[in-house]
Amino acid sequence: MSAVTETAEETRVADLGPAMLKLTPKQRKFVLALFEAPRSHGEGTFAAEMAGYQAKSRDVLGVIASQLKADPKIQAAIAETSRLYLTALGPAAVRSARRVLNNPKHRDHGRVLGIVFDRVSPVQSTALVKVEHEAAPSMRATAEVLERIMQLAARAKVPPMIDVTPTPEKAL
Amino acid sequence: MIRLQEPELSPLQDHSAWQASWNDDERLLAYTPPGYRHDLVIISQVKRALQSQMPDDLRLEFLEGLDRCVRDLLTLEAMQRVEPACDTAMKMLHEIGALSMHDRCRLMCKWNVIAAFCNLNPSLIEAMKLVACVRERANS
Repeated sequence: MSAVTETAEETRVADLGPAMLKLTPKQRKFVLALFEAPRSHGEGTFAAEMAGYQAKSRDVLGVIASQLKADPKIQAAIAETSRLYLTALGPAAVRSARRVLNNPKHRDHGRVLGIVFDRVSPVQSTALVKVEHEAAPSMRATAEVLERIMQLAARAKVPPMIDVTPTPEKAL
Repeated sequence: MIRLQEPELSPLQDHSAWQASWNDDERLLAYTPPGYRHDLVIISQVKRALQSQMPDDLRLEFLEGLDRCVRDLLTLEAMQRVEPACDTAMKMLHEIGALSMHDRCRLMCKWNVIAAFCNLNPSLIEAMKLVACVRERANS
């Protein structure tokens, strides 16, 4: 491997997230290849092939890909990479939205306009939520019993409750 | 201090000598209606029971029972004056509890039994004094 390729590889590794760093280089390639697959059908086989996994047939390669995708470490890496891709897709999405906005005849012009307005100046609404809580019969009964106990105990001049807090045992 | 009858006098015997020797507390005990004496002992028993841990509904039942004891000559002050029963009194009450209601009431009417309870819990005499005050006011 040339010095230039090694440096590029190191740079790419430095950019990776924690989930990707936990994978082997081959597994990392598999995860990245999943996002480069030409179509969703057979993306696992494609990615396994691109990552360098070897098998006697494509079916076996598909099984290897399924096993890889079931690995929790790889699933975490896929989730992490998906977030990165979605963030990176932001500018492209804005460009597309701008194209639609610039074309009033586009069939989705109104919808995109609404989406943009919702995000730029969202409609503020005040909702008055009235929460009514009704105590369960058992809770209410308990409260009534305790209140009655307090009343009668005060009347009879006896302690309403008994403190049953255990006393700490003396050290031997 | 209430003296015990030794030997215990039967109802047919002459009590005049014994009655002539009564002190104030003994006279008070003799003139307090037996039902009230029994009630005061029960109050002391309930107050002792309330000192132990128990479910809230049972505690409420005991307190309601205490409240129901307050009637006629037995005023709220008299009920409040009674102190919880001691261990010995509770043991005695436990033995009495095994009897039928009829026998229990007969036993509680006996001088020596109620005297023993009063000696163990002098607050019973104090409560009887309050009962006597109410009775005197009612009679006057």
